[in-house]
Amino acid sequence: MKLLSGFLLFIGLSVVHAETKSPYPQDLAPTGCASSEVFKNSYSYLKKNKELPFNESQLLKAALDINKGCNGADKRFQRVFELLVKSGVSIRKCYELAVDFAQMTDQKTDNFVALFKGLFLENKFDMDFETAYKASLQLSAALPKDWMKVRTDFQAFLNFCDNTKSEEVPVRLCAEWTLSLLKHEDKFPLGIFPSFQTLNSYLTGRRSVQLPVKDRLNLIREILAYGPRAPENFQSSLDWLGSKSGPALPPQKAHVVALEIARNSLQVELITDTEKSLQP
Amino acid sequence: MKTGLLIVFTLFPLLCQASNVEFEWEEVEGASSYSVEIRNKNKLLKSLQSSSSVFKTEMTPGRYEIRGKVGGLNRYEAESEWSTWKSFDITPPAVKISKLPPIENKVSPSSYLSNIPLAWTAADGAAEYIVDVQDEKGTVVHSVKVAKPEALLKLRPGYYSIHIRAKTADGLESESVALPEKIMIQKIPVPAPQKIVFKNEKHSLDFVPIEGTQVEVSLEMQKFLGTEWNLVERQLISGNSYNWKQDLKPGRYRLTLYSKNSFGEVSTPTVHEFIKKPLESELPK
Repeated sequence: MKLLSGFLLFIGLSVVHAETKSPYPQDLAPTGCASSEVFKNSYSYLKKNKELPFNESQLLKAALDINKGCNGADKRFQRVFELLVKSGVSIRKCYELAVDFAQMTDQKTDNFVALFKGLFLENKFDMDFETAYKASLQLSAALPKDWMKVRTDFQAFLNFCDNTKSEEVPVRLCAEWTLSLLKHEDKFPLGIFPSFQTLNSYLTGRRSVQLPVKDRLNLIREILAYGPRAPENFQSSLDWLGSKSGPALPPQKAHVVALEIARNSLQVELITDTEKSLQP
Repeated sequence: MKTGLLIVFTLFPLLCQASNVEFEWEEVEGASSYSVEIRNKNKLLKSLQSSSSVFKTEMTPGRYEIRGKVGGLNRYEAESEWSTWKSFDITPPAVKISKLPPIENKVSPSSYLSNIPLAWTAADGAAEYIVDVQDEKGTVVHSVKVAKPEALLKLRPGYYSIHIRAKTADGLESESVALPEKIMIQKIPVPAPQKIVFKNEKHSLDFVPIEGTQVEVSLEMQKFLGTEWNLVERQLISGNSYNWKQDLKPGRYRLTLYSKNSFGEVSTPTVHEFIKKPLESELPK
């Protein structure tokens, strides 16, 4: 009897499997969403989950909400939901945010997961939950085109901070610098970390003015805020201002002037006094 | 020779609270002498004679009976019969209370008792003294009996007046005398546990407890972005360290410590918060 039941179950599952299998060859698969599969997966996952106290109608509504995210929405939901649940986030917020990510792309989800872990975990940047959560949401959501660049730069800064950590520059302070630098990511087509690294090497190698690490990192942050041309402008100005072919300014003075020059690296349309006087 | 004459013997003990007692009675016309007998519990104590209607004698406070008769009512020196026994009391004198020495106005939360040493003058004839402690409404909240004119009261915080009276073996009581100053004993609030040292890696919180108190620790958990605090555990600790279980789930934790004395009084809370983060290996890739 048991054998017969098992056989019937096998037949049944085969039929179900045959029904859900795409009839198209992979290269000719039509575009669009496998919404049925996403819905079923989401529904099963939600029903199995003991943390979510959903009744039947709530289960259906939740699975339909996730389903709006098209292909991969079920996976994105599960990934973000589990990340947040295991991080100790309130179950309601876990659900709400996971539904949001279900509607986004895999890349954004990847970024959020990587950034959140990097910012929050004790062995990484070890930031407080609120900062880590908000920053990872902002960075993953605000830069749709540069998702890979943000992650690569973030990982590079994480390594840099880990190697640089000291009493003067603790990891959390370095994390704050990282976040403020990543805000300028959109100005750097090749990523902000290479520029950071070049400028850091240049300043570290200058013998005339040796800045403490904290001051050096603050200076780099300021220069990078003026865009990708600013490091080059700063370096070239500083070299020339202190040289005999230039005005041969003392190092401190040359430093101040070079920074002033670097500030003008971003192309901005200035309103002259004459124009101002003509404004109503 | 005794006559059959009965006289009305009206006795006026004048100073019945003193050891020198003065008796006076109405003079009987023609009397040349007066005899007085005083007894206590049927035991004759004094037998006195006087030519006047007043006499003084030393007596201790107590319950007595007195009778008298007159003599020399006529030329035959006739005597009246003894009057009937008439009782009178000599109450003990009121005590005089010495000034209070400095007392502990603020009491430690471990005992909540203040020692009040009292002393007063001994009252003649007093077999015991009664010390009544009245609260601010005048209700006697505490009463002690002592044989000597001193007492050590142990009072809880409050506002009190103290009244002392002497009492003879016969049950006669002196006038009650109040201590001139009222006594106010204040509670020192139970101080919160101090100097907290949090050791996350050892899952412990060390503190300096307040003497005579225990420390109640509540460990509560709040999920990130949540609003509710849920109790994980509550413990009453006699030592100076609290250890929590190592496998706490990730989230925000709050340790609330109170000092608690044996009267159930609690201190203000000392709160310490900490975060429990997940391990990288516990999170999805």
